[in-house]
Amino acid sequence: MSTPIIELTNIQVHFQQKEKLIKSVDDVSLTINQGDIYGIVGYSGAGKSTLVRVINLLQKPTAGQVTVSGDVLFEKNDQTTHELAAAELRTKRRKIGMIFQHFNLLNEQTALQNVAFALKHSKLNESARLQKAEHLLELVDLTDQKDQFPAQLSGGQQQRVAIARALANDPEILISDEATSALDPKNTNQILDLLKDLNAKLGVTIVLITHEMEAVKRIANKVAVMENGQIIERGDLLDIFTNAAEPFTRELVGSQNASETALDILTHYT
Amino acid sequence: MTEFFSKYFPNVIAQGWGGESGWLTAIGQTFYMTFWSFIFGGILGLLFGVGLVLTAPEGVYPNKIIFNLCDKLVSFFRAVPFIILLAFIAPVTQLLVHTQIGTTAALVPLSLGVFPFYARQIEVALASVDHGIIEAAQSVGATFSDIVFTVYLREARSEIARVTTVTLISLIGLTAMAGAIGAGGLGNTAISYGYNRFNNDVTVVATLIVLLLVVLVQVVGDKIAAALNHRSN
Ligand SMILES: Nc1ncnc2c1ncn2[C@@H]1O[C@H](COP(=O)(O)OP(=O)(O)OP(=O)(O)O)[C@@H](O)[C@H]1O
Ligand SMILES: [Mg+2]
Repeated sequence: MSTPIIELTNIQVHFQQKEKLIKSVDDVSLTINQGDIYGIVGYSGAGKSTLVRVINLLQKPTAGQVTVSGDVLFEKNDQTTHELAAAELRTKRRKIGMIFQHFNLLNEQTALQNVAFALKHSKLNESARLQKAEHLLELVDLTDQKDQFPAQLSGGQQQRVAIARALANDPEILISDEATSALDPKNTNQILDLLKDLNAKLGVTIVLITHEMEAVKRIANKVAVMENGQIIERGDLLDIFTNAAEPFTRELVGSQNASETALDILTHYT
Repeated sequence: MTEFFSKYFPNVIAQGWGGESGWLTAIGQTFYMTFWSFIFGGILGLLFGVGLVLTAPEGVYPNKIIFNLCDKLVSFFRAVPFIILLAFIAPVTQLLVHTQIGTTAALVPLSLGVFPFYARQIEVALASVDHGIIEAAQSVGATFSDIVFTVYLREARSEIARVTTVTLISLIGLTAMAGAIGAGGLGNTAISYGYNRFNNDVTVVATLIVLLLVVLVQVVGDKIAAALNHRSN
């Protein structure tokens, strides 16, 4: 019933810095199913960004296997090393949208141009590309702002442009790395609800990295907790929030009493 | 007006407009040298600057060999004082333009003198592009040329306009020294016809014209840089 769409197997990302070996991601395996909104939480420096950047290989792991939609993008162990060719990787990346804490829009391009940029190598012709870009901006409710430059938009609006850009190539996966961390609560909730909506309507699988438990509670169905480069606990949202095994998770989740939390989650879910 | 001029600036008038020592000739030579060495040195500097940023260890396409080669070449030419460079590369000049003196001959050392400066300036300008933007571009499958043109060059265009202005101004300064190899220009007028012959009025007027040029470049450059900037409002 649930098909895996992202399979990270024994992923290791080590950085050699002078004398010191930094184990940012230390032997992590993670399977994310199609249609999931998978929250990944943990304190700063836990390795969350590093781990998700492995999914589209913005970060090459030092060891492990990355499989997305059944295709092995990367494999490296004692016996073999397998990497996609650059052109193939680019094609694959277009099917994995990504949004960031600081939006990362092209500052010298308008909202519309930013979205169209992502479509530059699609098979559509110029006018079809613009049309699609406009349609995507409509989807994130920014039709009136399409000719504005990012600096002329609010943070929430910029993030919505970024979402439109990330969706341009009809990705199966959308990775959100602290996408709401720079936004105020109102904008945060708008963006989260938009993500949830996209998940429901388009069936996009969402990987949601955050340190805000509220965000996870609001939209995720699964959660993994990271600490020191490892996933220390994972499971269904309700489980993690109501009966976490690890003290660390309980600390992260907060001391809210269990039935209250469960009620909270259940109300979001209906 | 004319009377005032001929009274206080007799030698300036004596220089005349045209002819070997004329003002228009000198201005024309300065323009000629600035323009062409800016074209050649600018292209070279841009290539090296972009190359340095892309192939740097923390760059998008790290490449130790290319990076070190660019870096060493730029550092070398940057380290040689221009007046020495003039003499030092005379054989190369001879090879390229079949003469070692004159305005055209000066283009070779001028281009080589300005390119490392521009390369470093471009390096700084491109470094202003946030790494996150590059990563976002990669995440939508940007190609090499997307990264170079749409991301780096376009995103940094205002900064590039700014450093180009700085470079042009420093280049105008360099052309003044090219008089040393018989290239003429306003610097030569100031030294050979002004200073060396105790014609202070000539020196003053030549200096004023150079100053005017510099101010003009600065004002136009600032305007362009501002018009190209959408990073902040
Ligand atoms: N390129 C790199 N070189 C060296 N160390 C790195 C590099 N990238 C990440 N690290 C280290 O890896 C660890 C994990 O970093 P990462 O950015 O993945 O954490 P995070 O969980 O996303 O934190 P945050 O919540 O602050 O974003 C940190 O200690 C960081 O310093
Ligand atoms: Mg992070």
